[in-house]
Amino acid sequence: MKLDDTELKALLRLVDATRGREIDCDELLDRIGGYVEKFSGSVRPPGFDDIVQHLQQCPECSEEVEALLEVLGSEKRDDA
Amino acid sequence: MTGNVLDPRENDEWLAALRGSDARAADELRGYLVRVLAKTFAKNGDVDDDDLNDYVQDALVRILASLDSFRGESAFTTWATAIALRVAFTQLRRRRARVDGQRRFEAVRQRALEPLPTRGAVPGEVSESRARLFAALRDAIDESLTERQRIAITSELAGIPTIDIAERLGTNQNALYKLVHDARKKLRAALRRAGFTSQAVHESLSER
Repeated sequence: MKLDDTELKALLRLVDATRGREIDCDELLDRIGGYVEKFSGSVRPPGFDDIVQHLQQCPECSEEVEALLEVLGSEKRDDA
Repeated sequence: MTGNVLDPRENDEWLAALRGSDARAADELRGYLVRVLAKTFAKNGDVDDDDLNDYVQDALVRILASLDSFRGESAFTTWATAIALRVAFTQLRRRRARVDGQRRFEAVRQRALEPLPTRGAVPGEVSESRARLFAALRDAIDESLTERQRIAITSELAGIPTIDIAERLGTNQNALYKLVHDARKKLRAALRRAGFTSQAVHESLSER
């Protein structure tokens, strides 16, 4: 398994952030609404450690949550 | 009311309307989802109106089939938007992967299955502590991971979308997440056994 130093560092970060139990992508989708609605500005709401942990490990879910935050913010601004 | 404007509804009113096959509620939700997806993909040159309508149609099917799993922890429309984004991004990633996915995945698969390189870094390239950490990680990969785990991890590190990796390994995204999670747990345990605490890993990674 050939990995260069950049990939080894990235893997070490992911390994070091690993928890014994992690939620999967579908569990995240079930719960993400409560998380994003409690977002204030760019401040992460407390009490969602398992969601934050999954987002660190999963670039696809992270991309979707960023898009969700952006479009909900846009809707809110349009309604104001 | 139809189109892009949503009637204000409580969550239980949305659920009752959609469970009762209320066509007006379904039309409103469809219009809303088309609008929010259009905003999201406005800068993407490869998403047109037909794509948006296809994504929303598939999203509505999934939403209607998943009403019982709505936990009520957010507005119903927030939950529905999250599902629509999941459906849209997944289809878009799948389509993009079709362009050169097979060639790219095969190159990564070969790399994942190649023998590990000779241990030890070139003197002067990295610090001694980081060289020892990299060596411990390579040992852990060599001794702990299955072939599928090596392919999955190498593919993820190479930036191949998980939907593409999952389909090429004949599995789904959740099972792939579990496969990689199990691999990360094995590597973490091996590093701890080799004496690398979380603090030692942090310190080594923060070195220049």
